[in-house]
Amino acid sequence: MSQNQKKTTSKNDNKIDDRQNWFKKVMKNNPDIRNLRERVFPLSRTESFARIFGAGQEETKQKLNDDIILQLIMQHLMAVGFRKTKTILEEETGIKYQPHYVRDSRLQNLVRVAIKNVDLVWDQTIKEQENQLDQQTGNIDLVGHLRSLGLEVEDDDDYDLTSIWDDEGEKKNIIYTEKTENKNTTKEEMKEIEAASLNKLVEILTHEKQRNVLYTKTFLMTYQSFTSPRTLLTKLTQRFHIPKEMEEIYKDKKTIIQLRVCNVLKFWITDYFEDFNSKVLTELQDFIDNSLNSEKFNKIGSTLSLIIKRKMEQKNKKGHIFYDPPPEPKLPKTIFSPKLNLFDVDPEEIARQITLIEYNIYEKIKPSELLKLAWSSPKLRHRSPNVIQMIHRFNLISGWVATAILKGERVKERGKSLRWFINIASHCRKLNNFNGLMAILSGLGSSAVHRLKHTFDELPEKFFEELDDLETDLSSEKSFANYRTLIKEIKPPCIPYFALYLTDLTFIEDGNPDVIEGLINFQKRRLIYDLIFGIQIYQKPPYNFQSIHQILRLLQNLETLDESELYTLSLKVEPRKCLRSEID
Amino acid sequence: MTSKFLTEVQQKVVVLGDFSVGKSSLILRVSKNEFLEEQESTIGAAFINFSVNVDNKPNQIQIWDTAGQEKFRSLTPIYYRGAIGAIVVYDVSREYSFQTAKEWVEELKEKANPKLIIALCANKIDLLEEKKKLLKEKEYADENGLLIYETSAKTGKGVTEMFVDFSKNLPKDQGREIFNDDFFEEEFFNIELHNGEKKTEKTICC
Repeated sequence: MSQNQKKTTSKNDNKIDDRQNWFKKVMKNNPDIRNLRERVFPLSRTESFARIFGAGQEETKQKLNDDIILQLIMQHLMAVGFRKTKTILEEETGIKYQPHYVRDSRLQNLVRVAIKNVDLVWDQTIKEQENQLDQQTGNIDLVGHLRSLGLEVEDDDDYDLTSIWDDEGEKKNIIYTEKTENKNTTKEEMKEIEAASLNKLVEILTHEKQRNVLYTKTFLMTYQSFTSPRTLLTKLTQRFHIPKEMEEIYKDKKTIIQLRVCNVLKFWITDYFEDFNSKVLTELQDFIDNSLNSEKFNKIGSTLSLIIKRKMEQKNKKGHIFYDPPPEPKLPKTIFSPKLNLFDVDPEEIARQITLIEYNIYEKIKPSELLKLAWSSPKLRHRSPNVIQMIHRFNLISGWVATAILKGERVKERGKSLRWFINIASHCRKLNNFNGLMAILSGLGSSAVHRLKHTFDELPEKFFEELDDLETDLSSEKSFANYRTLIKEIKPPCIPYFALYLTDLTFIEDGNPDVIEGLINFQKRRLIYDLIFGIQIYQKPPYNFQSIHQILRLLQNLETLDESELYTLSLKVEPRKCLRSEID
Repeated sequence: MTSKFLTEVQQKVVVLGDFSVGKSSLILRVSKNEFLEEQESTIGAAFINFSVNVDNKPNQIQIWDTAGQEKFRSLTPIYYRGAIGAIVVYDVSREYSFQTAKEWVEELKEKANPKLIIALCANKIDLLEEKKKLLKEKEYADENGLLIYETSAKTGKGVTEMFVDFSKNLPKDQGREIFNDDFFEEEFFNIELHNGEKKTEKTICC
């Protein structure tokens, strides 16, 4: 349905506007219709799903072979009582009917399994949800949404369930890096782990002698790429409870190991409290109440409980304290007018507000969102809400830039908007908002805008140079060599060009195996740690600007046309090879 | 003189395609090969640079990878602008990724440099059953004048061959030709162009 809509609208460009505005207005004013539409919406997904996986399609044939189909037919025959027909079918095909004892029919089960396994379903479901992002709050409850559709999100886990104390066998459970393997030392702590089993990694994390802060940090930041919070908690609990038969061997070390476990827990709760969902949190609380209640440990126990309590209270609290007042906002006279137009606002102020919005998303990105390329994998995408927001925002800004320029019917108008956007881009650059800068540049560089020769001719020389400089800073040449040098020298606050991290992560992920000889490749996690650490550096220093709600509201509801609409519009305002004299 | 300019200008090739079709793996696979120039591959994995001899003349090829950025829809035109070749990758084990590949090809044909050489790369052929011969895909490539390659980044099969063969198919005289007045209309705002020009000026004055 939506495709048909698009086709008709692009035929008549003037109406695109009206229609979209009308639609937004109607949805806003009639929550009932909106509600109904949301309920009916999955139908369109079913339809597109059926197109790809309908009977006779390649994918379907692969999954549903003749045997399965025959079983289904026989099940049906049995259900309606045609036993004889079933027997004949069995004889003729040479396939024996396998009775199905589960309450639901085999078909239902097949469909359920299929839906779970098909990336496309996850993909489309999440895509729809993204389109309906609540722009005001920026919240997306993907997990909840997926659940409501019967797509249960699982912790992919049970990596290693042998107890941490039973892992001492002959099996090789650790490999050291080549450069440290042959070091002239027998001391384990001098060696760097290349790969190890989960039990071994946790053992080292809580080792009685080795203490390596960087190791702990790397582990806690990246463990979700090889196990789940729940398993980690189980392993730590196991480690704390040294079995009776081993107490003799660990007599002197027992208390140290137990203290180490408590320290790791403290570190974990303090830095990654978001890892604890209600289930894991209950288990943690159980551990504190039942295992840390001895005289020796109850002080530690209450400290941990206190940290948890504080974290729970903080969950919804945020805000930064600045010693200096923010710079005076640059506001137009129309700021309180309901007809406030973004074009009336000073480019510098727009850049500030764009930066505030982006910083607020960037700041929230958690390391776990960046593991296992979750943002690009249909089944893991629910783990990356803020990364998705970041991408969404980027596309929104560049779409807006292109739309706003192309909305100018006359060359002069377009030239004026072009200058305005270049000004905003320069201010983003001055604010070290490279992400916003790149979003604007990609709007200016989109196919629909980039071809507007006459519009660019309107630019004074100065603007060309300006734009040229900005593009050089963010040139993709040599894998963004210019930018990579630049960002090392800038003074925060800063919003880095985010997409580049995602490329780098992709190369780290694809270029290094997760597992070496059956052991967790820890060296790979070090690379990931370094990269995510680089992201975190810029998450802390905040921007000190006054947020202007009137402007933010407009920047959160930007109007964008889709790419094909933009291109059609572009060809309309400046037809191919037209002369300046031929257009207005 | 012109030919001197041409040997100075590197030829840009972009790799496009749906997520997890193996774009980065192709690059990683080829970057382990010997014909790469050492110093370039250290700058960043997403970028490789190599030269192929065509008619006894070295052709400098730069390969850009967009892996990880598939969801930034607005970025792609920036990547393919100034490129003279594009390799559109799809995953033979995922029918859907071929649909996406077709969309890419259409976009490139409509909006990119009209002289762009486009190749279709059928990746992950290690996952393909023997009997399948990619007939549909080959027909599509034929109809649209695309080169077609079958690769497996996992086993390495066909990867180096693809990059070398593709490079040989790039027009040797690109550089200049592509930025002549005719094309200027579409491409007048080009980062590559400016860098290229600066480079030539230097060569000339030295």
